[in-house]
Parts: sequence; C-alpha cells; structure tokens
Amino acid sequence: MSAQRQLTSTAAGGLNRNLPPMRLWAKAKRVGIWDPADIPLEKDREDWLSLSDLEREVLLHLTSLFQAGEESVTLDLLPLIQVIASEGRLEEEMFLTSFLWEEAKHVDFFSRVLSEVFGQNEDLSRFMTPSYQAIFYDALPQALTALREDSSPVAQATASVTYNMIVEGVLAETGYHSYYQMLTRNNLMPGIQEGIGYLKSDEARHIAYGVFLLSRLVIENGDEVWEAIERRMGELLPQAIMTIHELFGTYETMPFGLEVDELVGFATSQFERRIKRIEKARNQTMDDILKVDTEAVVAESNA
Amino acid sequence: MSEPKKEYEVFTQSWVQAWADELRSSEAYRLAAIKWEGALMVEMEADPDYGIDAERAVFLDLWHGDCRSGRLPIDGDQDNAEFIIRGPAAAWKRVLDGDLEPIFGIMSGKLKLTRGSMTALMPFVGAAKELVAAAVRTGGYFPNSNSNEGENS
Repeated sequence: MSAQRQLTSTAAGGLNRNLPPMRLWAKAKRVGIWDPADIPLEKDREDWLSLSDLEREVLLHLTSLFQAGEESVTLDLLPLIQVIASEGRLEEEMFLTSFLWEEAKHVDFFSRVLSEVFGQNEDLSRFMTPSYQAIFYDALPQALTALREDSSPVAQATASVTYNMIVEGVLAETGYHSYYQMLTRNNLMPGIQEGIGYLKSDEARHIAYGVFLLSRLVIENGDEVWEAIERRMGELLPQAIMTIHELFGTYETMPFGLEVDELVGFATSQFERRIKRIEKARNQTMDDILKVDTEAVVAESNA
Repeated sequence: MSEPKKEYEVFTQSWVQAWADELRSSEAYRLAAIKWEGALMVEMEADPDYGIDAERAVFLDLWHGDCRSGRLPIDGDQDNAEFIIRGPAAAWKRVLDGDLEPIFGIMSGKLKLTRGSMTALMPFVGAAKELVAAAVRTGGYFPNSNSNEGENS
C-alpha cells in the first residue's frame, strides 16, 4: 500500500494565503496579465526610423542583451520550480507558474520589438560581451541545471542568488530602469515604454520572491546557506559590474543622456537594500518572516 | 595550498611593505592593473575586540600594474588617493581571510568607498581582485589573538 500523499489544499487550513508568495501570486493575477501582442508599436517604428546610426546601434545593443537574457531565464527556471514542487511548497509553486509565464512573455515582447520596430532578423550575438556570456551562457544555466542533481539548500541558494539577485536584481532591473528612463526622458517609443513598464513590475515580483526564498533558506538552514549566498555574490558581482562596464566601454559617447553613474548607483542601492534584508534573516524565525515580511515582500514587488 | 604568512601585524608599515612586495611580484596583478593610475588608501576603523585601539590606514601608490610604494599615509595622501576604501576591522579581517570579496563588500555596505566611485572602479574589478589576493597571500595578524580564529561575523 502506498503512503498517503500529503496535499496542502485539502489539508486542514488549506492554502496559506498570508505567505508572501501567495501575496505575490495574487498580485501577478491582477497586474501580470498584459499581452505583448496588444501593445501598439507603429509609433515606435516611426521613432526608430528617425534615429541616428549611433542611437539605433545602442538601442539594438541593449535590446539584444534583454532578449538573450529573457530567453536564458525562461530556459533555465524549470529546475528551481521542480525542486520547490518536490518539497510540496504549493503556494510557492503557484507563484512560480506566473513567474515562468511572465518570462516567456518578456521573450515574446522583445521579439516583437526586434522584428517590428527595429526590423531585425540578423544574428545579434556580437553584442554578447565576455562578462555577459560568463553569466548568461555559463553561470546561470550551470547553477540552475545543478539542481537536477543536487537540490540541497546551498544549491538552491546558489541558484537563486544567480537568478534573482544577480541576473534579475542587478542586470535586468537596472537595465530596464535605465532603458525606461532613456525613452521617457526623450519622449520616444511609447509602445516599448509601455512594455518595459510591465516588465519592471513583473521583475519586481520575481526579485521579491527571490528575497523571500533566500530569507527562508537562511532561516531554515543557518550560516551554511548565508555563507553560500555571500560566496556566490562575491563570485558574480564583479562579473555583473564588468558587464555594465563592457556595455559602456563599447561607445565613446552614450546617446539619450544615458549615464553610467546613474545606472551603477541604482544597481548598488537596490542591491544593498536587498542583501541587508536577507542578512537580517540570520536572526529571524519563519514567524518573523510571515508576520513582518509579508508586507516587506509586497513592498519589494513595488520597488 | 600553503597557509598564509602571519608574521606582520596588519595595517602597519612592515605589513603594507610586504603587501606592496607581493603586488610587485604578481604577474596576474600587473596584467589586471595595466591601466590603473592612482593611489589606493585603505582605512580600518578602531575596534578593541580586534586589538585595534585607534583607526589605522595604509597607502599604496599604484601605477600601470606596478606598486611604486606601500606605506603608512603621510600628510596629503588622503587628498591624493584615487580611491579610499574604509571599513570596520571585522570586515577587513574577512577580506584578508579571503572570505569577503571586496566588490560585494562595497555593494553590500560592509565596506565604504569614501573616495572614488563604483563607476570609476568598474574598469579595475580584475585589478581589485588581484590586489586582495596579494593581501591574502601577505597574511598578517590582528593584535587581539582571539580575533585571529576563523569566523564569519
């Protein structure tokens, strides 16, 4: 006779709607339902045709990095979802279904931008600099694929730092913030502005989940996980910083008023705030996280 | 892998000279810092738990992959340094033990870049890594022997 399977939704109490991932799930159902196909891009195409060669090259460069990044995170997320599901964390898995769906929509959106606005169908791998490749071609898939063989808390933390804190938290969020500022300040490409606005909101929820996941892993497993988080940050932050440096180093002058100081300042302040929240978990219990951090996690998803 | 040397008390003249010697003999540092121009000052806040009764600082005159001198600061050094990194003894202990990567240290607020910016430091991420690797190889001990045990504070 097989052992009775323990199901969450039919157990006493049912789904825990106060868990931060359930709050994020509720929010994803409300604000994450945009369709890339609904965004009009005709004016964006007109704007594109009016830009200088340098302006087009920089936009194409940035968008290529975003497109490749979104494809990478879509391809690489599944092992983490599998681990969370195998641990029976239904509420977290429910949120992660929206997470993966949203990443796929981001791929869809940038694909439209590249083809319908920029008229591109050439190979864009020339924009993938060595540090970018080190993160997206090697570190990210390796850390997530490793979960298929090793689902330990340390392996989960390593994967989440790579995915949520470095790729999403430093590179994607900073990139989208700057891209959005660049377009709004110059009153360009309203369709892309609209799409990036949705992406920023989606990514904020993903990062908020990452902060929750890492905090939970620290609380449940202690210093072993915290040390793995610090180690992984130490390995990848220099690569992430070099990725920004390589992007700006490609051009003598950046158009659109794009300032590296502003970009790095934003990345640093966001990162510092999040790592402090995760470090705080070293002295917290899960009750603390559930009582206090539900609001903090939701606030993070608005950041 | 051999244990780090411990004969020098950290943030002293003999220690910073030994660090400078390590840099001069490091081909990895020379290559990583080939475009580096300007001095680095490293400041450690006082912390009696580590036997550091008063603030300490060291000054490295770095130029295109070379370390022209390593010494305690003199008047004017603070104004002449391209970068000043400041932190508590606990954080520097972890850096010197190889447990805290300096870019992570700065971005997480454990260390402060009080002169220069992350943007200016960005091209020298590889050089910063080799600078720290040389400091780790230099070794050194803190005056309070209890603080020389491994830890992760």
